[in-house]
Amino acid sequence: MTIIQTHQLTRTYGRHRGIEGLGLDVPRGSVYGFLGPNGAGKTTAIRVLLGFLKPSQGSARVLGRDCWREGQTIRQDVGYLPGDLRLYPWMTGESALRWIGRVRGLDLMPHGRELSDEFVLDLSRRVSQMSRGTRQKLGLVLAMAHAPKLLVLDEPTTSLDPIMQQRLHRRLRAGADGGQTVFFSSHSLSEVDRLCDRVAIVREGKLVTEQTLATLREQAGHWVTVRWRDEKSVGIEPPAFLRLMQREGRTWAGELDGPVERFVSWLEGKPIEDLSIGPPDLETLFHHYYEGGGDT
Amino acid sequence: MNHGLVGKSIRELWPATVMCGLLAAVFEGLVAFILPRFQAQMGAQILEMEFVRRVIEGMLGTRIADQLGPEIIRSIPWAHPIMLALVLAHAVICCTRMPAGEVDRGTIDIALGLPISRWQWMWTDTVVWIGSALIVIVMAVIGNAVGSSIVSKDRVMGLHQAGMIFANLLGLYLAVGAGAWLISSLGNRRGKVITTVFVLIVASFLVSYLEQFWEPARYAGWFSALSYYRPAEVLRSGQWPVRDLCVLYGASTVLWGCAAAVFIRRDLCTT
Repeated sequence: MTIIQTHQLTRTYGRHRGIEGLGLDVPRGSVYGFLGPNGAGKTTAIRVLLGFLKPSQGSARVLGRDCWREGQTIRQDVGYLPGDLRLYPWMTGESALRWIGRVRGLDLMPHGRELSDEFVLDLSRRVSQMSRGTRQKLGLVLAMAHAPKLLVLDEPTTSLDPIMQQRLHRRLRAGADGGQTVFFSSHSLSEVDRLCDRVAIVREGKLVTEQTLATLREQAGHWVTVRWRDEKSVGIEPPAFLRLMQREGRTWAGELDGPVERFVSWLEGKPIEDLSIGPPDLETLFHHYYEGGGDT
Repeated sequence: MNHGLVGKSIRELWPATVMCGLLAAVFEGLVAFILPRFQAQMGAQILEMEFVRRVIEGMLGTRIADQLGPEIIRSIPWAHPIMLALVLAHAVICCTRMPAGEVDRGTIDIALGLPISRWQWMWTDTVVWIGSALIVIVMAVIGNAVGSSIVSKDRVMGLHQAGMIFANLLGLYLAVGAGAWLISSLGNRRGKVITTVFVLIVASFLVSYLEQFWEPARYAGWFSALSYYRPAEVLRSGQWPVRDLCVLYGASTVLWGCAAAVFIRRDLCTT
């Protein structure tokens, strides 16, 4: 079942760049990474999905409903954490939970307390007295307290310490295993690599690629270092699928294109002294997309 | 109406409501208590000065004779700039909170992320706003009654007179508030919205005063708030100001309707 579906979604506003022809399909129960550099249009896309902005062209549906016309119904089953989270300064964590509970017509206190214990959050403090990280934790608790079908998190780990990031990842993973869908906007490559099942990369408002992480890993090159046994072997012509970056003495280092097996077969019978093959280098691949090397 | 939204609106509005209401009550009480003592002196000396007489006429929105009668004296606390400033400040504070205040503060993303429709939000905030307006004006009426009763029981306005003043002042309050709401719906910065509303209010009152001295200003008389809020005329005639009430409540309804239409259709998010 598709939880978020956009088709040719375009939104331009003012002087800011929006999104152009965005097509997304977010399956139920997935942790979906929405990646892109700052200003790529991630937040604009989220705002269209939540009904804050009207699409200029195309369609956007969440939980099978039109985002602009049926936003209220959609938001019943959505938990949202804005990228630049601001909360009412006069509220305490507890009064914020109670207020959102009253708006939603639910008692959020039991689950909210459980979440705040997990994130080590003191609910009795006023928002105005909270640090940025603490406010972020409260924002997460408020977004997750009603156990929504869809969690939309816009750069949620900003200002969270590594331990809290880990707890959040664990919680999101558990939610996804239980059927919750997480739409996770980020510009942190390693975070998306650790957490997400699928990833969409946007650049300058356009979708660059949309794949499962497993497919991306297959596409990503491996970093290879070869040390030849003798000086003579250094003269060997490298295969086309190995991009050599360094050639110092008896050592080659470079990026492997395609499967490792092919390279291992190529090495067969050659005089190697040492060989190391690193894990798939997603970061390089992401940078390649970020900087305009990928298909658009 | 959404109970959560009602609670939030009340929480945000009560400090301004209590403050403006108390100040209006104290001011009304003091002026109603003090002014009658100077009635004879004002009639004899101040009105002899043409300029001062015209300023007072501009303030009251009506011509005054050589004598300041009890109705004119009774109407001064209601038309005094301080009283109007207090009441209209409350209207501006309330009506610029949403959406300009929410966008400016950055809380609009959290509020709009909840399962509430914009219409629901607009409607709920309007009910709380009108409720708080009634509190402020009722407090002013009570303050006036207390101040007048100290001077003499006869000076306290009857229910009919108080009702007319109340309805006229509420009409002015709602028209200014609805105008502020419309500007707020169009804006993203509360400071700019408040400045715009303030400039318009000052211009509107300025027209009333200029009309007394400068003939061309009469062409802009329709823009003067004091052309439709005339407590002196109301108290003197004892007649309900039907035309004024129709204009004020009609303008309020139209402006509020436009504000709602803009708010429901526009893009909203933290900028």
